Order: sequence, then C-alpha cells, then structure tokens
Amino acid sequence: MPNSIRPDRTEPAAAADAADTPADRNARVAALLQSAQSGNRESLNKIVVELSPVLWQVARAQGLDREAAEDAIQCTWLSLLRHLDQIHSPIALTAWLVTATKREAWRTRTAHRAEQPLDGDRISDTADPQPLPEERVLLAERHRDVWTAVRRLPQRCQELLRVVAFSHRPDYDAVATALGMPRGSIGPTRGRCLAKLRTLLDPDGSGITGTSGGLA
Amino acid sequence: MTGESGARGAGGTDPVRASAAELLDERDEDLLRILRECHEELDPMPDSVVQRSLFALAVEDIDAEVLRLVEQYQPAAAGVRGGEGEEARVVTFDSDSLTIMIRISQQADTVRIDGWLAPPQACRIELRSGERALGTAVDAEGRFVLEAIPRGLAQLVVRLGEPLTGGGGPSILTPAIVL
Repeated sequence: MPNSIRPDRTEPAAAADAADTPADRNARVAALLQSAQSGNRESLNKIVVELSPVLWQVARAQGLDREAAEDAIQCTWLSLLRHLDQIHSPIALTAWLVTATKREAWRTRTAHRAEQPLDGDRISDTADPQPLPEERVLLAERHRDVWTAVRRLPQRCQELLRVVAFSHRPDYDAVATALGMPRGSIGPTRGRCLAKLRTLLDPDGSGITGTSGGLA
Repeated sequence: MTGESGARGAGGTDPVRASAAELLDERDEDLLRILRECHEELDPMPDSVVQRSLFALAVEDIDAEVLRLVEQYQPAAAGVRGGEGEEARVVTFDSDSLTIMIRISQQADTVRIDGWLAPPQACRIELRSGERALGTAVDAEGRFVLEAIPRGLAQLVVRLGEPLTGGGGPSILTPAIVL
C-alpha cells in the first residue's frame, strides 16, 4: 500500500500545520532545549509556550478541574528546572513533561479523594454518554459528527486521542507510553483508537463520511 | 483519499483491526486536527496557564524543591467582620519536607500575609511579586509576616540556609498564585 508509507522526518509539509514540518519542529525544539540547558530563560519560556497546550490536555483528560489543571501544569514546569540537564531530546522532553503532569494530576486527585470521592468509572474502559446539547451548539457543524463519534469511544481512547491531537508526530509514541498506553501487539493504541473512530464515522468503509469534504 | 479508504476496508473481515495496523494517513491527521479544534472550542486553555508558569519560572533558584498547592479556602467567618482583614483566604502548600500555610488578607490597596511553616525552623522567606522581592525572617516557631504586598502574581521562596540572608542552604519554591 504505497499510500500509507509513514512520512519520514525529512518529508516536507507532512504535518497538519504546514508551516512547521516535523523535522523543522524537532530541530527548533532541540535548539531551544539546548539553549535552555545552558541557562537561557527566554528559550525556556518559548518551550513553556510551545508545550503547555498539550499538558493542559493531559491534566484535563486526567479529570482535574480547570483550576487544579493550571496548578498541576505550573508545578510540572517548576519541577523541570531541576531536571532539565537530564533531558537530551525533544521527544524525551515531551515524555518527561507528560509523565510529570500525569503524576501531578494523580497527586491532586489523591489529596482530594477524602473530600470528593472520585468517580469510579473515570479510569474504566467505558465510553462517556452522548455529548451534552450545549457542547454540540458550540461546535461548527462539520465538527459535530467527529465530536459525537469521539464521545462514543472508550475513555482511554478519548484520553489518548485528546493528548495526541495536541502533540507533534515524532512525539506520538512517547506520549502514548507516558500515558500508560504503549504499543500493543496489533500496533499502537493510537492506531486502534483512530480505527474505531473511523469505523464509527464510516461504518460501511465507503470512505464517504460527513467529514471528508471541506477540511482545508 | 477515497480509493485508499476503500483499500483499507477490503483488507480483512475486521475493519477496525485491519486499519489499526496501518500507519497514520492524511485522513487521520484531519481527524486529529478536528478533534484539536473541538477541544480548543469546548475547553480552551486559559492564558493564565502560561502567564503564571512564566512568572514562576523567572525565579533564580533552579535547584529547588517544589511545594504544591494542596488546599485553598476562605474561612466562612472572615467576610462578616468588615474593615481590614476581610476577604481573608487561607492557602496551604506542601512538599515531602515542608508545609506552609498562609493567610492572605487585603489591606487597603495592598495585601498582608501571615504565614506558618512546618516543621518550624528559623530561616528566610522571600516573596517575588512583580518587579521586586520582599523578604523577611521566619522565627523559630515557623511564623512570618509579609506586609504591603502589591496585588497580582506572587511566589514564595523559602531559603533554608542562614536565617538573615537565607544563604548556604537549599531553596523551596511555591507555584505563583494571584494575591
């Protein structure tokens, strides 16, 4: 299947954001990391701007409320200060940050467990109910089908795809591993989750779905 | 793209299994981008996430332990007294080695912090606030007071060294909070 060859890091314009190919982005973050390690705070700040959005998804997908998510992310960045020297690649940086945010979220939930019992279903492999009506109203029409289908996926798939959607391609496997969903015997968990999503959107495999047009 | 999808479906009896084995294609990237846009619309990351993180990271102590915000509440009785000290708020920070509880009260245009540090030890505490840093000694009972603090983002830095300067010992940081 010649169409499904994975683009390597040198292939231009392979990423969704065409201005920044995976190779460009990897080189840029590698340079920022090296510069931050030598004490350049401006480079560290750029890393914070670049990677906070994916950490927001990690914290929120772990069930933290918005305020607690903000605290967890800030503690993750502060903790990075003393570990920066031990991180040697952009992929390792993402993996470290995702792991640390997940750990912060776990600590927060444990601390609050006595006051607010955790919903026992959160970590189980069950899907959320249908999206709330107000969620649908907020979304543009062409996004509603995808959102409705995503909400029917198992919780773990929703969590993984949410975080992967804010990650960059070279980091996908590291993100899955950091979230505790490593590659299984039939390929990456990400692939299985995406396959389920595609099947929900296009049950007969015709390739004609409500989302295939107008995606430019 | 349509032809490719058709090939995927023809691969086996279980379309989920068959297409999971394939690598990410353009259509997957589209789905992930739509999903990203859904989350950005429904649960946008507040700007304060980056603002507070950048403020906290501007601290000089790079080899410091990090305290976590574990509890925050406004005592029910605080608001009814009126006058100075109203709107008091109590915040607790915690780490493996140290706990700090602070009571934050408004005084006209500024803020006052009454703090307790446990286990109690004489040391120095600094508050990074805006452009300047305020510092004071923590007494042997672990108490400290910081006054005339401008409102806005602030971060506490505990220096466990020599009490007058805080030098020669490890540092412990809190995240930045809004006073």
